[in-house]
Amino acid sequence: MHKRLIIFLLVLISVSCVPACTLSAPVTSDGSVPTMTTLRVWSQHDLTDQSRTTSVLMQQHVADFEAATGISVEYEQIAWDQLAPKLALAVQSGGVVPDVVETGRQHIPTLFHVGALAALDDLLAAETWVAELDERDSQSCIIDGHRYCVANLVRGGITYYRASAFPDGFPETHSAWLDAGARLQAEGMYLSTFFAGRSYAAIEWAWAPWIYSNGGRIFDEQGRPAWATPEVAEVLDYARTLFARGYLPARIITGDIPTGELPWIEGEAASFRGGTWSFLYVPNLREGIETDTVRVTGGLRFNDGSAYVFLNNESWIVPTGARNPTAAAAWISSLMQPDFLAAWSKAQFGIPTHPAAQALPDFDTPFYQQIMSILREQGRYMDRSPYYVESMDTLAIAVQEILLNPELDIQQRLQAAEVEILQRYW
Amino acid sequence: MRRCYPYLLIAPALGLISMVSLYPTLYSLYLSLHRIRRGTMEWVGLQNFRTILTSASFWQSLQHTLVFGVCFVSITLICAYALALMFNRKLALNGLYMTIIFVPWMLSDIVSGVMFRWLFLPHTGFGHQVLEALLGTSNLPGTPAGAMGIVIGATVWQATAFAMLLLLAGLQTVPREIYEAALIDGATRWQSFWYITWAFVRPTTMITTLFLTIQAINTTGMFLAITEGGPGRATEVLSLYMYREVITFFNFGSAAALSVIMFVLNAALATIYIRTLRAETV
Repeated sequence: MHKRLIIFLLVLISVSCVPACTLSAPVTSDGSVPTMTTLRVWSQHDLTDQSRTTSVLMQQHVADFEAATGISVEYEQIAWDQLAPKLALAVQSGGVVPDVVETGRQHIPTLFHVGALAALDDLLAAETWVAELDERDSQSCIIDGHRYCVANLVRGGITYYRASAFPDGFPETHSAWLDAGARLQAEGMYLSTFFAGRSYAAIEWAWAPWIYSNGGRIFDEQGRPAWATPEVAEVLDYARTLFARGYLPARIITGDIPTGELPWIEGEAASFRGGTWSFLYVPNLREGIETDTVRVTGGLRFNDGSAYVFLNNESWIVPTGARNPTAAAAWISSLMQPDFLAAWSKAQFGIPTHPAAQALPDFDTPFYQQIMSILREQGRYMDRSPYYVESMDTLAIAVQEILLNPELDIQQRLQAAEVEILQRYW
Repeated sequence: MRRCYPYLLIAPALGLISMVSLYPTLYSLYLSLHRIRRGTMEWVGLQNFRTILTSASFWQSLQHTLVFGVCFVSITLICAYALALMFNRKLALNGLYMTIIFVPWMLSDIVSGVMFRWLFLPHTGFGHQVLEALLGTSNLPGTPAGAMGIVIGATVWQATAFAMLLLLAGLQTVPREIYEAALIDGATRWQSFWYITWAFVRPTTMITTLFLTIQAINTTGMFLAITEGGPGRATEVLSLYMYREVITFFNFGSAAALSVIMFVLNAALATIYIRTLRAETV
């Protein structure tokens, strides 16, 4: 009896191991690997949310793609800030990766560095639209002469201001900002509000454009941090002054992204540094623009330097190890068709990278013409670094400490942050 | 065969434990000796440990963990003790009070954390408004001590019920007759507590302290939900540092090295407690 029980247990264990040992690509009876009929897509858009134009458009696009290609789309919604980390984790841990993923420009160097990006040159070789994309695509997606992504639309930082608070127009220089701050403070208003927390996004939106305008950099040509410079220190000292004088709300230093929007929404701030996409999240912004009570402008000029605004994009990539790269290329190609691309870009308040889509009537409005002009003239992608997020987060933490502690030596703190990254990665 | 039979019987359970517990631990150790970049694993020996131990962030995080651990464990123990002594008296509506006290324990770290985050949101949080009215302070989460205080408060609030339950179980093992005998012998309240209650409850207290200390070292959710480690790095504890290493920065090797260091810390603390406990009970 015992012997039978033991044999039964051993057989059970052996049988349970068999499926694990035979996990591999399915093979047909003639020995060939069957054509893949599914496409796994990771994107931030929620297909169940019918109140958002992007969701409705994406849902329709999935249906159209399936009907046109016969490929079944397995769509997975993943939060925007989790798309790149999840993909990097999946690739590095040897897990199952999707076939095509939406991401942003800032994550491309890191994803490339961890080996998560497949080259698209061969996959897209037959597509004529590739050669027609504007330079915002190639600046982002061509690395070492090879294409690793397709940037379908660009978005950027932009400043919204209440026309009534700035009767003589919005101040364009850092010294004029101080004057305006003093005047508005007397009227009981903050000069501006924006996200200034301890995340890389704060550097991208808030501080980097000012640092660039002041002649500074975030990373050097090799992607190493270049923060401990007088140009960066001067900008942070200026930011400290704005907070110390109460021209900016102190809560935005420790708050999250919505906290940076609140003083504007609550009517406490005269201007708001957000993005072209802020319409999606900030109430009454669209109405304000339409009634001309709210206007848009670009960046701030430091010490007679040029004004810059943060530039980002939506990019589509095919991960290393994707099971169906051909279908992924077809998916990307379908996204780039001018009519869809125009509608898709407009829904996200972005600018398409394909000139044929840009030329469509969707973008022939005063608002779009203005933001296209701002992004064209002032838009600047962030410097590249293979250790982008960890470096930028380290800088953001240092900046937060500098802003919160007026006694802290700016140059020394920047130096310490720089050394931390250099010692670790370089 | 007869000799092997018991081992065969426990083999499935052992296999399962190895799969879910031993394998991840050993794999962490293996990972800690490698660097993973561009999808390939490269043997780096103790390089990850060197990187971690020479990093200022690690020592800062360790310091924050210690501050958090000492405050959290001591405050939780005091609160739990007070509540356990109260419930040990068998008050009316004991069940109702107990239920109320246990609600926080049933909530997840993230839910509790988000509640506390909202409570102290500048301008809009109720807790913030109360503090501002009472003390005239503003932006409590914006100061290092304030942010740490909020996390400690939230974690104590959540963990007290469980600690109280353990201590109450210990208190209920004390025979009533001993108190009566002490009373006849003229013992004061303090003497009764110190020589009877405390003597009986000390082993339970040690166990409770051990659980709370391990919880203090491993807590991530509360920090993530309330402060995300800020302002600056003022509330970045070891577990959060490890989380950021792996989830945000993709440094699997460094994070694994950190997890090994934390494992050693936990094991060392557990050994000290258990040895102390044994020495007391022998």
